[in-house]
Amino acid sequence: MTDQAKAFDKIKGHLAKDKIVIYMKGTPQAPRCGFSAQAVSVLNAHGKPFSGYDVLSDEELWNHLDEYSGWETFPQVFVDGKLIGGCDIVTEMHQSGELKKVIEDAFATAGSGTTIK
Amino acid sequence: MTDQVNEARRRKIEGLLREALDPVHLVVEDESHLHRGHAGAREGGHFRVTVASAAFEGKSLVEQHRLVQDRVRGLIGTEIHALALKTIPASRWQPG
Repeated sequence: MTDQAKAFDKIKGHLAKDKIVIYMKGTPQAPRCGFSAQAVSVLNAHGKPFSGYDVLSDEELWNHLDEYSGWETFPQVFVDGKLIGGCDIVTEMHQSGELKKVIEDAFATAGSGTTIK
Repeated sequence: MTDQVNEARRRKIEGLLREALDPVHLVVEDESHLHRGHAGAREGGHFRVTVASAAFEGKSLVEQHRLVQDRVRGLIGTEIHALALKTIPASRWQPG
């Protein structure tokens, strides 16, 4: 298996496990970048569970996440396995009310598992 | 990093986006001074782009941002450390 295929499997696993996933610099508890911190604070405002993965401490993610998502910068927020955007988009959607709808729709969907950590 | 270097980068970003997106509104601001001293600031400048263009019509925000990022891709990680983006379809642009 190539490094890329291994990384893609890992990412797909993350996205299958949780409805909301953020790939970021640092962790939700200790962000290491202002944009990641901002995105986490937006997600926290919605009160739904999400998982954060630190790209700075995971070489596979650091090297291959952009190839998976087609997005070059961090953070990257996924809802229901789909890239929603980075800090600016998430903030803009939060302010417009669109993010609330996207998140509610995701959690209204029956089926795939929701893990509360 | 000197202000002249970031001003040159700012103009480069502005030029690339103006050429690619034929914007009805485009502002590129250098915000590097706000981030002086943090680790990534050595790698490149912090810029804030507000751009309104017909190219964004009917596209999702992710697609709109990709259109911008694709134009400056070669600069990310070298001359650009961070790019804050606000994209607006031309039909929704309200001056002032």
